[in-house]
Amino acid sequence: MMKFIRPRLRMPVRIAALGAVAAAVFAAGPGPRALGIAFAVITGGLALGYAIAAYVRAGEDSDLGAIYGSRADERQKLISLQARGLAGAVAMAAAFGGFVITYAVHGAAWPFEFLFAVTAASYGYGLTIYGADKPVPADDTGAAYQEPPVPIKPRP
Amino acid sequence: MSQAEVAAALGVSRQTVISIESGRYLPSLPLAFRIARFFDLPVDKMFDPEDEETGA
Repeated sequence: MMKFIRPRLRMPVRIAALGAVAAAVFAAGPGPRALGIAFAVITGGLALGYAIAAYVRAGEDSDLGAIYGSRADERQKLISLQARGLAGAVAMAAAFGGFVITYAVHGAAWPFEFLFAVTAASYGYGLTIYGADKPVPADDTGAAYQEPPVPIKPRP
Repeated sequence: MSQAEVAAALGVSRQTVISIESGRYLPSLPLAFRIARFFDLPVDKMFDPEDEETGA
């Protein structure tokens, strides 16, 4: 669906959509209605502000602009991937820390358990789908010669 | 030739051209081949540690 949206708008639209969902959850959630509406307005406003900032930055001639503007080249994609990896590792550590602390104080630890299990399982799934568990033939036995993917000219 | 022109010809950003020039980023092999073709150089020139040491 995102392919139908202009590249510069993709990240801001994602941010705004997530903010709208969070605001709707606050507005429809349990508890005092006025408090829910207030949280919804604050969350929606923050998400809208972040979406506008992302749109502005997406127009810049910089690495961050390219990442926000969905036009990253291979190096910028690598930077973005490293940042995502860091975010995932921090999320897993935070979930584990939250689980330990809430369990120690006899609180409801299951949300942290769930988050830890999801992040850990997705790491394992990532290793599987990106080929880390694929068997390889032992030391070229039976491997046929293959042409290189790009023509290689001998040096003069 | 400007960095922006080289970047446009190679299909990467100007920041990536600067990073490759300054040795902060090693390009992938497909990009290295594009650079080699663009400058009409052997591709191993980009990965030659002797060149880095001598600054050539």
